Amino acid sequence: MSVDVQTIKPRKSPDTTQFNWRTFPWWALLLLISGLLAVAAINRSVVYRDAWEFLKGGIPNTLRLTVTAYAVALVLGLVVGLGRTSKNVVVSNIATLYVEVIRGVPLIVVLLYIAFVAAGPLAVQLSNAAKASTVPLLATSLQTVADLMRIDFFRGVLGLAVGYAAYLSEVYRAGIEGIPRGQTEAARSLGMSQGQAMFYIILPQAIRIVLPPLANDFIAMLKDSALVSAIGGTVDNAELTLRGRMYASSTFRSFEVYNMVALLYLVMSLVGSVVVRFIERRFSVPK
Amino acid sequence: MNTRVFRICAAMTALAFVIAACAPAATPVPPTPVPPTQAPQPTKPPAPTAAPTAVAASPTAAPTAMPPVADLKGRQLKVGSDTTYPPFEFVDTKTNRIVGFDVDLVNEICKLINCKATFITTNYDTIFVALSQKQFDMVASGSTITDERKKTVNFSDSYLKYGETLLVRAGDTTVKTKDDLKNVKIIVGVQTGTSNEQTALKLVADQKSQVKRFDTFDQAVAALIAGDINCVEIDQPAALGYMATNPGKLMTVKDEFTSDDLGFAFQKDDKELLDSFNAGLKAVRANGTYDKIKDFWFNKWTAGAPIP
Repeated sequence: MSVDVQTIKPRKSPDTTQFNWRTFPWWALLLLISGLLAVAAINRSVVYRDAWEFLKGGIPNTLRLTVTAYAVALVLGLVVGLGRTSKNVVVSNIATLYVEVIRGVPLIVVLLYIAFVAAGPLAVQLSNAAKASTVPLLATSLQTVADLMRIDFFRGVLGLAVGYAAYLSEVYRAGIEGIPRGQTEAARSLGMSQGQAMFYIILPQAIRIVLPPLANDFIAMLKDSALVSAIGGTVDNAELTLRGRMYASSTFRSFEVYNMVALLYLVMSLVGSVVVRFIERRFSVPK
Repeated sequence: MNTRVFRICAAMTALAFVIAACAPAATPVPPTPVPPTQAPQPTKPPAPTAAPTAVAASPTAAPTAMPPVADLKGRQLKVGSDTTYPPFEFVDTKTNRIVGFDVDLVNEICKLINCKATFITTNYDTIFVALSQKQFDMVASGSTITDERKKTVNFSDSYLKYGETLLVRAGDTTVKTKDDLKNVKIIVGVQTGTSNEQTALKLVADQKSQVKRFDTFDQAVAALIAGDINCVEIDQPAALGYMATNPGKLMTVKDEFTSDDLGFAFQKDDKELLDSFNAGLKAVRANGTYDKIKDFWFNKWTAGAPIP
């Protein structure tokens, strides 16, 4: 008996152009509507408008802080992550020590420590060392670091980067260790050294895998940049949260100000989430 | 989910609830943990004055013998305060008690008007809003009476007049008078939400880059000592307080400018407490207790006398 090919109907794939109540992002629509209502309310109130005039200067500062700190954290995290996966006893112990210490201290304490304990005296010591040094290149580089230590922006970047690199190193490590050992073996058998195998074969694959968690951590750092308000600052270099506190304390309008600050962070995070989703889809590893 | 896992999760949730319920309240509410540290305080101020004259003991015994100036019937007061501000209120590291001029003054007045004050540490930049939202009964935090603040809270009569000055590193002559602040390179440190912040903003040339705000004055002083900023705009008594706690590192400029009144802040609708405190304040000024407290905190303590 032969099978009648005509009776085997192909399975119909779900019609993606049809409106699906389940998959439609209702939460995004709700947020969009409430966002538009908030903007409308803000435009009608003088208090909100004045607050916005003062707070808006904090947004570029927040973004600058986050982007710089995250860029540094990505690089530092990779170095530490490689250190943790290294077979060298000294390197792997130093890397593990760094990760355990930094993960054991809250980020705000790291920032307070840098701002009020470490940075000032360190700048003084580096300055003295620069003056005492005879090699001009060393002297100028020491002096540059000493000057950087005095700047609030760099203290914030340092604190955030050091804090986040510890977590990012674990993400990198997970990616590297997730690559099948066969890849390293094949690379070595082709004549590559351990370092070449890592750089040309393992890392490109590993980084592609861990790109989504890395992108998500950027959103997390956007919010943690608010902790930098603990170290104080002038209006010029104040990020959004510190601006909010300054404005609220001098006008006593905590309600409006903190509503606005929360809303602004939410908007920044949501925009970031959309970008992250795009990155995830673009770089996702095909199964 | 299998039964064993479910039971473990349920047990852990229940444990979490039990721990949350049993944990001691971190901030204000129960007065019970706090009185053991606060109770010794009201009786202490007489002690330092016993040394100069023997008769000092009797004037301070008198207030408790006199009929109360006003009667709040033993009302428990929650006093909001930023306890990082010597000599007005700060934590004595040897005994972990909140001590200071404001603490002693409030406790002495409370003795006369029959109430019990408990000091609660809080952030200064939200203290008046918190008071207006009834999180405290009053605020005693070395606060200047300003018209802006009067819109949100009521103030008692002035309990101290003082000047503001600039605190600088010892031996640093970059800032000699308040006019030096017009130099754009000079950075002034202040605490967010204080009248010093407003004064500093008026004195500098570029408000956006010259005034550095900190959460507390001791952070500003730490930054000053570390060399991050040039000066701190601060009240004269507090400047002396910081000079006492950091001997040899700080000095003030010769300039003393503005003359501000300090007051206790109360909720807008709490007339009874406001009037009682004003009456109590008049009484302590009349019977000499005020002068004793002021003498101790602004003369003896800044010279290094130990806190009783």
